[in-house]
Amino acid sequence: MVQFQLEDGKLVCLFLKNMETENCVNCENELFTKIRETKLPVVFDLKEVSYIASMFLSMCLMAKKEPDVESFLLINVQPNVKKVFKIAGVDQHLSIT
Amino acid sequence: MENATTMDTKGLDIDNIMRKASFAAAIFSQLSQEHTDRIVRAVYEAGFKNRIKLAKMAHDETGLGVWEDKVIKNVVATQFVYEDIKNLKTVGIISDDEENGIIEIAQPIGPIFALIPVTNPTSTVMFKILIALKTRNPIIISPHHRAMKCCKETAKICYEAALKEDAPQDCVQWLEAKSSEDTRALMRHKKLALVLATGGSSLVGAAYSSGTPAIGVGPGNVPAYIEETADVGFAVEQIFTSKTFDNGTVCASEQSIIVDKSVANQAKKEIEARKGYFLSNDEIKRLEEVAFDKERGLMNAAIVGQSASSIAKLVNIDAPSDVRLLLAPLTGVGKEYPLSSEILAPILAYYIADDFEHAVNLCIDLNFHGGIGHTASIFSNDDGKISEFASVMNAGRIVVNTPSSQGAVGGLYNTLHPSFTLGCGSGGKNITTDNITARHLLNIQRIARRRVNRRLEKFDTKLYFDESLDIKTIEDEFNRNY
Repeated sequence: MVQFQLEDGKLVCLFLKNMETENCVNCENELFTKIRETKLPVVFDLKEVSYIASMFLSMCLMAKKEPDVESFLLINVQPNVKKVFKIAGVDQHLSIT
Repeated sequence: MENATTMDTKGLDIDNIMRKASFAAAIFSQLSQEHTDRIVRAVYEAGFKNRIKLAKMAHDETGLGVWEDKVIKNVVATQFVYEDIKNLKTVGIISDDEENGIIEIAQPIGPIFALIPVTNPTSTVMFKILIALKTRNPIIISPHHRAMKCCKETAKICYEAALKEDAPQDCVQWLEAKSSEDTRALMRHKKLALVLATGGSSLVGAAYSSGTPAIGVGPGNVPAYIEETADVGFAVEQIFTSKTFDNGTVCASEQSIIVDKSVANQAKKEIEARKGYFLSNDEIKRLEEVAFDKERGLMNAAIVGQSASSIAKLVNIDAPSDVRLLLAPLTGVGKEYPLSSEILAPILAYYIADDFEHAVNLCIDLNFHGGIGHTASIFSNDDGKISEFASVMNAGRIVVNTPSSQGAVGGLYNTLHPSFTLGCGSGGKNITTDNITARHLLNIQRIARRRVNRRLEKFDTKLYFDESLDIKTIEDEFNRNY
């Protein structure tokens, strides 16, 4: 569901499927365990993601708020997913490219 | 339910409610037509299955109306509304006019705040949820404080059904307890897209002044004119069907009968045969005191939705115990005649008109006495008179040979869109005279492809700069048929 890579001192999390609620539930523990273990800046790579559930929005906000995460970035966000962040009004709290 | 969508105390966390609604709106924007339609189908089925339980709950909690009639309201709000909207395209491209180069794309409008009246609580909740979800908009239900439990249960049933079809979390929220400040704060919230206001004038007025786009409903004061060419027995039967329905709680129900003198005797007999009771002048005075709050200029809430027999008992009216309608013969319209105002109970003002002109003038007075823009009713077999009547009424709906309550709501006796929010146009301070439905909850984008304006193409635009030419010359040149 999620591939983890360490790149340039950052934890890059590549999501391999659409992040429907079920997929979010399935990967949430693993994802946050990894984030807390590495204590590095976090990048969510969404190039394979064309649909997200509201739980994924919450996971992004939670990742951003993790105490040991210096920075949080969303990359390769497809337009239809970017629009979801805009409509939800969370784009101002997250760095999206 | 794990994801709590209810707020238990006053002083609501408005920002949190709107945050959840915004998330739901965002997720909704990704859904396909097929997925959306599955959600709507599931909500319709759940509402329809619970139509009797919810009708009884509404009746028990509010003490208004007749539970069997509330079942019918629930049927209209689910089955009839579903049939009306099920094939409506509400996602993506909804039309493509190749010749004119216009493509229309339907987009959701965003979170909707829905105010629910005490008179039609469960039906209005189901109706508003169905049209909101069909258009991929999250909805926040704000019940009348006297219909809190039944509205909450209705919203919960709809929400759970929607979730089973993978609807966005929090696509339906409901408020359990709220202050008027909470309501106003929600209506003003910057993330709210629309207030769908069905309720009293002050609430609808607050919605309009909130700064958020609003679709509201004005009050009604429906005159029902029995013109001399009408089938009088049929007309009276229809009016009884309408005005006794749910004890007169529908805002489109008749508030007065205006009958032509030439058929007045027959009308009186037909009314009395159906257990209508004509009040004496003394009884009218006593009823006015109870039915109307003169200080506020409004009907008294205590008699709304009560049966004719219980109102008769309350006012010591010597009517038969099985009386169905109370009729007050009046000679005028206005403040001096309180029963000429809107009263959502089985009470009707009754007028005998000398002729068509007199009748229409009475109807205009009644229409403009608190019911501008809503509904007017005529029973006639003269198309010319029907048109003449309609042309002078300020009413979004002129129902013909039809029980007004059911006729205005649509779908049962005509092809108006079934709706529990009846627009009253500018007269009622509304944006539209339409029966509100899913179509009103969409932003329609238009892709306008370049097309040649053939007249402009042939026209010498330098002529616009020649002040010596008159407008006719320029028009002729512009419209020249080469």
